[in-house]
Amino acid sequence: MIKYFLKRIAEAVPVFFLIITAVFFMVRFVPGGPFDRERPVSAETIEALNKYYGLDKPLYSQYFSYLKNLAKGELGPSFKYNGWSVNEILAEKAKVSLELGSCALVIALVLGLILGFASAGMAKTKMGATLSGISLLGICLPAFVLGPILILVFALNLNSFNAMGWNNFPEDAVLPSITLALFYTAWIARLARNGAIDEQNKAYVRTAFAKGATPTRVYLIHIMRNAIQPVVSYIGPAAAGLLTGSFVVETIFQIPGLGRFFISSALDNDYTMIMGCVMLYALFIIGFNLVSDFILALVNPRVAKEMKK
Amino acid sequence: MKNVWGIFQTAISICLTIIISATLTGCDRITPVDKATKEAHLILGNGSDPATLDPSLSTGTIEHKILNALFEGLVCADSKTLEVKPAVADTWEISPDGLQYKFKLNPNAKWSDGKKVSAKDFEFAWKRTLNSIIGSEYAFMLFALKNGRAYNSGKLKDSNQVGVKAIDENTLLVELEKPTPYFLSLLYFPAYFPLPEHTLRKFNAHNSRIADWTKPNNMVSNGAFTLKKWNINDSIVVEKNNLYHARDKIFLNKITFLPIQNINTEDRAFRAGQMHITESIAPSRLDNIRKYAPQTLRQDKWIGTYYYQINSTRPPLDNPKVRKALAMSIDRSAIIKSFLKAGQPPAFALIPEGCGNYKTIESAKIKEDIATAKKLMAEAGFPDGKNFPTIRITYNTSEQHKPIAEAIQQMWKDNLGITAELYNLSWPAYLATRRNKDFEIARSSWIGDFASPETFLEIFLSDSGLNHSGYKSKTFDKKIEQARLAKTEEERFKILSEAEAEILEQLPIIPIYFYSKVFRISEDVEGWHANILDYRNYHNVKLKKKGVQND
Repeated sequence: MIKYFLKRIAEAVPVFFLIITAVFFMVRFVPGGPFDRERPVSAETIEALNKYYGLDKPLYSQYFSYLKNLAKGELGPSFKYNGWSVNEILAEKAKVSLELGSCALVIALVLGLILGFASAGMAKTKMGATLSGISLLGICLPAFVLGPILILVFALNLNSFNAMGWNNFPEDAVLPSITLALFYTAWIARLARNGAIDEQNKAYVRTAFAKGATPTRVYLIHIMRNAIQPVVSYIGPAAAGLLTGSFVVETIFQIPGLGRFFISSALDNDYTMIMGCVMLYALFIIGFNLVSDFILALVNPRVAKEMKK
Repeated sequence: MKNVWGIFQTAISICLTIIISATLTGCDRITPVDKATKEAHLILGNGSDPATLDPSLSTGTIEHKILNALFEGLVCADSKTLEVKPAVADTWEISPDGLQYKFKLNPNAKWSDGKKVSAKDFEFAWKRTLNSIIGSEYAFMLFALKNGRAYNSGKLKDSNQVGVKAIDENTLLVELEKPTPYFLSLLYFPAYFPLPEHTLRKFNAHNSRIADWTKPNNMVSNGAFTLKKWNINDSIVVEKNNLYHARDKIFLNKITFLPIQNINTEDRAFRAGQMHITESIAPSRLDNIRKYAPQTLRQDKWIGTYYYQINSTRPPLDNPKVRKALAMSIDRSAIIKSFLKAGQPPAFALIPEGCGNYKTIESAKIKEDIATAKKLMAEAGFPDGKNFPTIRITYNTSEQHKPIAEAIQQMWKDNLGITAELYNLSWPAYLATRRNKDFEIARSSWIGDFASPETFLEIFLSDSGLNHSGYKSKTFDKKIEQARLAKTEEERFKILSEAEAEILEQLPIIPIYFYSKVFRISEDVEGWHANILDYRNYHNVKLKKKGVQND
């Protein structure tokens, strides 16, 4: 199995390299440059700026020097924020996004699984239908609607939380985490519910009941273990999305996370920042997919066997 | 199955308990603003993040508000009247030809590390800004200095020939390229602030853009405040500088600038008691605020004009009659009432009111007159819009520019029978399009840098980098030159108003409305005066608990 994972990591390297190359050249062909301003600056100034940021060299040599610096772990200076390196910004912002994302991930997993399995357990009752209705609502309700509603109720009317900011952890994390988690909670609930309902009717479940196992045991030990597999596959990319921040939630709650840089760096033509964001996201996606494969192998011996082949 | 239901019930009740207890404890929570007011800590919106805190490299109003707290120039302005007042300079003498200024510095002016602010710090700072190697975008503000432009463009290599010299520690001699009647009011602009040479040398920034010296703990400044924290997208915090020479005028211990870009987020933060002053307001919120909390609403005049720039090199827009007809057939009040909602003044001229005693010539102002506009179109060969090609209105992506462009498109269709198409671009793409003159009509705006008519008129000089419309006029250029030599302000304003009249006759742009600074301010704040530049030096701003208002 270790061989399988080593192979997967080896496959990820060219993918990562391709992403860097594609993005590096794509951003250069977007109209406008990083130093375009309302007030046009003189040719001498542009020349000085290009020289300082190494944009005066031919594109291929810029590309190779970027790769060279990347090998040393240097992502270069931000073009927008003078005096800040992309490493500095990403490190500072990733910390916030990780905090917020992990809170949301825990909420989504705990609530989603409870909701999903409960509604599967009560599939044919009114309560079960209500619960699956709730999870459908969660998928349909976007963050830009839920966030302001939560602020209106809990910050402006009840005065229980701040309406924005990221100063007091965990109080300031409550409303944004819920807003961010809702969609994922609902997805996880639906995946878990469908998985559990499928498994309930299988022969091994009947055998377990026939052997006299209690319903709790059948659910927790037999059904859940199999029903959780679609959730595990989903969690990989979902975790990458949650932990790299969300533009919408960060804007609504004014949270200094990574999510906003994905949009703002592109709008500002901040080349190095765009590259940094994309690479980080790619790393998360590749990494979490590997992790979810690993968990799958742990839960399901058949998957592990296939991996060995 | 019952057991599963039991686990679920327990989980639900735990969640409910958390929510209810959080809710109940919240009701008598002290808001951040209440706490801040007690501690003389002002919290205000800054619209966006500063791109830099190096005064030489600053790029606009977003940085200026913070830099004005951190640094101080030779002079400052009265925040009510914008009258020039002594700051680091105690006194000054101006030569009769208006070309030489001699400043005597306040011996008590100190940097925040205790070193004295000397005339050399000004000489160093101005020359650094002009040094093309650092790529300052506002270097042109220093072109008023003798040889400033030549040194910046690299034509002149010797920086000793630039018109600024420290005669001794406390005396600064400044020579100008041409008489510049508004020179003193340029001096409170960040490009003219002094820089601590010893600190910049330590961080190797004396001849480079390297900006490590602007980080908290590294920065040394000479203003009323010093930098304590700078966290991108979060906040910039400054604290009172106890070495500041005029510290008796400073009643705030701390200022937090919040770079909130989203106006709805900012509005909610104000309502939740998290900030004293917002940067702006969503027009859709104005009716409610007027109804429930009018005492928190402020509408101040601001030195800015929103206009449509016309590419006057392209037919049929090269015909002044067509341009005039387009300008005459826009209902400005309807646009303001429907989309802006804050009672901004409609713009029938280029220069907003409030630049001292300057007045636009009344008869030169644009008149909204559809009948005359139709007549002009017919004279230009397009009766009822016949044969008039489809023209394109280019604007950058914004919730506000789009409805205004749609309204104008409809007004031209109804009033003149011509078709305009809308073309939406991202900000960098829009700037590139405008620079390459690849547009017919482009939405633009201009916020003045100083409170004089020249800040608007100089856009239209033949050699101006901002003159995208292709407008060139020798008589106009000559008038601006003449105004520099005027003996009195009255004479100068008269010449400038004639220059403005020429612009309003030729109309390389169509003015639409004048900006207003519309924002919310807590009743706790005292001494936050209105001025046309939205200039702040934070002198005499006080915080006193007044009351809570909900809306």
